[in-house]
Amino acid sequence: MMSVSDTGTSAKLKKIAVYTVLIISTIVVLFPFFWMVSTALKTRSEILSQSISLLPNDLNWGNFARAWNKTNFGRQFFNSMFMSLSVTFGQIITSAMAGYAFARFEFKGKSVLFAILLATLVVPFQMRAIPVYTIVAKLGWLDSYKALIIPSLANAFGIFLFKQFFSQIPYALEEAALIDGASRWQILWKIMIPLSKPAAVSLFIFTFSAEWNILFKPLVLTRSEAMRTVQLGLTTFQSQFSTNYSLLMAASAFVTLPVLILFLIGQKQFIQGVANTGID
Amino acid sequence: MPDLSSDTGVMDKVQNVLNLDDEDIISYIFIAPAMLFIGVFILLPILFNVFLSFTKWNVVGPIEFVGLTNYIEMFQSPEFWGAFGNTVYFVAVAVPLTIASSLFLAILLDQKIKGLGFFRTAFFSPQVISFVAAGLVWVWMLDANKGLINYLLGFLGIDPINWLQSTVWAMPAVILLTVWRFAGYFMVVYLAGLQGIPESYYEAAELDGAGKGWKSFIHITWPLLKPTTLFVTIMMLFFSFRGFAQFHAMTRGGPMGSTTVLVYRMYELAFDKFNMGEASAVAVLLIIISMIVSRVQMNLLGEE
Repeated sequence: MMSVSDTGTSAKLKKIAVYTVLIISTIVVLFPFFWMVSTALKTRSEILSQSISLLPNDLNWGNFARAWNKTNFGRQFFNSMFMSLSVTFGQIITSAMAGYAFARFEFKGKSVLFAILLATLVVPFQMRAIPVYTIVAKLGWLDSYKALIIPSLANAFGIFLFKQFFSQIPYALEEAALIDGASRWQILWKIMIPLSKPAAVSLFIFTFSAEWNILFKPLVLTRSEAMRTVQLGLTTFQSQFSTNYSLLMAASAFVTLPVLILFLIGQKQFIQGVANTGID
Repeated sequence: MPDLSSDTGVMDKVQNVLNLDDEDIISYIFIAPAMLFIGVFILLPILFNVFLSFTKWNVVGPIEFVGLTNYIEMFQSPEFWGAFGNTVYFVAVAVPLTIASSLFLAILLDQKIKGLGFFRTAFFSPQVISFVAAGLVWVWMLDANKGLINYLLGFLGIDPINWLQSTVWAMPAVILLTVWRFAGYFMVVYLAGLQGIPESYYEAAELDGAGKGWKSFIHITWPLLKPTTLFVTIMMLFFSFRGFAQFHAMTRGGPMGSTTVLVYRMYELAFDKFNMGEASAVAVLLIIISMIVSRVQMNLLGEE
């Protein structure tokens, strides 16, 4: 057993140790972000020089404009934004509707359908890319927004999220509305969805960032330069400018920016979303 | 929402034959959009994939039924076994490393510290960058001539390593990126698990002289975190098993196939070589393995 004063000193030492390890870990984790931005601001000669400095001599913001203009990043941003937003809102609508049915109704085949939905969770896009490619080609949608959007308009994850959220809402609210003559459809959109903002926000963040960051889908389903998304564009940019690291890092940085901003605005929901889906 | 009860004739007949009540019908209407997209773009593709795996098809020509040929060719090809081995290597190293680092970060944060929110956000942040963008940063840091890693190793007297052109080092480099990106994600899961352990357990241990050090970690924290660890293990198994973008950004499966995992092999077979049949056979194998893992998961989590 330690004496009281010993515990005091050792607690202080322990605190110092914890903060030291915390700060070192933070530096290690954040370093790639720092290095991306720092490199993006350096000149070519700084990158090729023998000694490496952590910070750029001057802030060459021009690298960002140069990277942006080297290829059609404007178009790619539009493509990614359009695809991600359409898929996200589509999934919120299909998931809320189905989630409501699974949370509130008893219907024939419910448990079988639910089990099937569960099973689809383990088959990501890459494992069904060949048949999806074939179906999309047969429909004549290859290399179009339809190809990028329609195959992703529903996902079991969103259905579970809404089902779970709806199940926690007390019945009383709906019963009152039913007595007032509201239809199930009205109840879903006027009562349940407004109450489920946290679930909708979680799904928005999760789906938007997943779609923004996806590579496999545009890689397989698009061909032309005009249909490229930012991630696919970044890989072709990489093949073109493989050693021009300040341009590559500038491009990586602005491709990362939209999800980073979303994360900084909604970090609570981002992190809470993981904790919620993680535990249940 | 149309009023279904006023729908005459056909609807009523269908309802009677199938013995459906109004609640069934309303339910089906609510799940219809989701089921339509999931049916056409997830369920149908899985079945279609199985069908294609019994055929030879080069996308432009006709589809030819060949029985088990694709599976026989797959299991006889050294490239397949190479990719299989690479997948096992990747998963077997990435999963435990991710568990160790995410648990480490979570334990760091599960103390009475100031700035918890800042550190948690910082550790979680790699999750927001795409594997493509992060992969490019990694490629740059690992650049043989001008990269930072070799520069720093130079101070320790270590000669430059050609990381991504080396059949030995390319895979560890991709693993490192993968662990970096997922550690903060699972840290959040572990943190929730840690916060579920009552403080009184540790106090009791302290009375027994175990304290909150290594001993209490072995005897209290780790055993009580078993369900969390199981969950993290399975999720990370899935995340690493389906990994593609980090390979595409960093190595394109090279050098000499040393980072070609099964998903990458499937991609190359289908969209480089247009051997859709054999690629489908690889995809079927991937789906079967995923299903088995999820089955095991449900059994294990059911026991907990």
